Amino acid sequence: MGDEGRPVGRRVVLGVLGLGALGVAFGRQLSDAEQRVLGVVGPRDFTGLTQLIPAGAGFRFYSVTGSIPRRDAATLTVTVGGLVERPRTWTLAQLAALPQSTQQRDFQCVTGWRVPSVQWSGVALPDLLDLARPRPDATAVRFTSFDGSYGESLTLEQARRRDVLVATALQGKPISAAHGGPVRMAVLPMYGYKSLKWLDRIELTAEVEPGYWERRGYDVDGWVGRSNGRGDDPT
Amino acid sequence: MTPPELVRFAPSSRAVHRATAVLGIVCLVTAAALYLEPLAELVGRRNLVVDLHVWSGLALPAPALLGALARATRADFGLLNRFTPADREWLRRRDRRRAGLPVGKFNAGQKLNAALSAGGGLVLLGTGIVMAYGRRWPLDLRIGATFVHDWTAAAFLLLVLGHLWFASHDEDARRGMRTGSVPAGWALQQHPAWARGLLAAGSGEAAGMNPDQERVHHRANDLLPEERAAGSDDPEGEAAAILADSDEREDHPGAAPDTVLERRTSAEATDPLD
Repeated sequence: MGDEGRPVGRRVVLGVLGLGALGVAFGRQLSDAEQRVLGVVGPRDFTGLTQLIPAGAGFRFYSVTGSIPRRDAATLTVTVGGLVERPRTWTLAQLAALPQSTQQRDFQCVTGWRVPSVQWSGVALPDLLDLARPRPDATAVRFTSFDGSYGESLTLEQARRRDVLVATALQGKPISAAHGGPVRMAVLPMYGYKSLKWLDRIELTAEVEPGYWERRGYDVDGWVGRSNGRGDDPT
Repeated sequence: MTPPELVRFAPSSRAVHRATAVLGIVCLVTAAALYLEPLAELVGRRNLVVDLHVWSGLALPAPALLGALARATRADFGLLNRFTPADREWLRRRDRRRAGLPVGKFNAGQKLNAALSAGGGLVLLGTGIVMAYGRRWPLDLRIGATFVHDWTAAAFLLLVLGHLWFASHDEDARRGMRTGSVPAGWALQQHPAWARGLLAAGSGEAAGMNPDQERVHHRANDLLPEERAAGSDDPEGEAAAILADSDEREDHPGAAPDTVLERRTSAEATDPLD
């Protein structure tokens, strides 16, 4: 009875596998084309339906802890400490009184998604470091999140770049809790995992300490297009 | 009298179905918690959810592979694989469910769903492995795998939703998967070729029959005059069909005479030799 009829099921399975292989082979081009279409259609889509399209553009929410950490913007402080001569603490209002920097770059995630032309505003990290005066034995900077788990590091040289921001605004608005607010890092030339969310403390250290994902295999020097085995266009 | 029952699924096939369903649901739920922003914000714990998703995905083919060790389940796979001319007809016609086609144990829609799910599942497995373990592999390969994984997952979700929709509309079909047996009347209506084959195979084995099978056996050996004149290749199957039909007519005696539920006596029936 099992031999009755033709083995169409097997052919369908093989056909689907073939389509899948073709999709993988030309996935780069297909996905680029899709992003181009969504780049045009998405901003004009007030129904939000394009959000449901697979591989659609936009941020994706990653958190390593169980819920969105929330801090009141009125009482939040950011501290620069560790190997510095003058440990400093700033409220959000005090940060706003410092010289502000606004920069627009693509945001590239190491898992593949990219959000074009994201505007970040805040204080350039080198300005805060200068105010705290790193000691000569400090060679690296460690960032700690108030989510209780996440950490990140940069070398002092990387941290002195003008495109590394202690960000307080995203796309011209205060940063929401889901996007890492009230204050987060924006390490613009590196992959997203370097831009720590829910910033609590910045500490100068004697050496680079691998961060949360770096202890799980990501590169410590997370330059976009030159790390993690990826060849993305630099941001 | 309780309606006659037919054994539809062996324990091994039901275990394969159940284990695959559990793993598939874990895959889909964790996928939603990774992919849909509001859910991702609610659940968080990204590395734990990724681990759950990857491990349930890797395990997804295991129940079917283990099930293939059991003869009954292997036979089910064989039946799902093969499309008969009736299946082609079933796919073509709009009145497929009323056309009286000799549908086997699985209809063509179920066979198509099984093949597309198996193919789609393998595509998800392959591309998922690239995504989970291929961080050092060429970028274009990983972009392609991510793209195909996302779209295949969406299509796979539609297949699962369709499967659940059809199941939610057929209590007897659900019972077949849950308990292993189905009412013979349902089987003769939905899967007539399979049901007749099963009933014919049971003929002559009066010993060990349950009351329903006995009733069918009795009816098959106690033919009406016109039935005896016409003869039959499959008296048991026809007897079961007649009894199921008769039960239905007893349940609905007021049915209009021009429907399939019409009532007439043996004397009023057409002489088959005319």
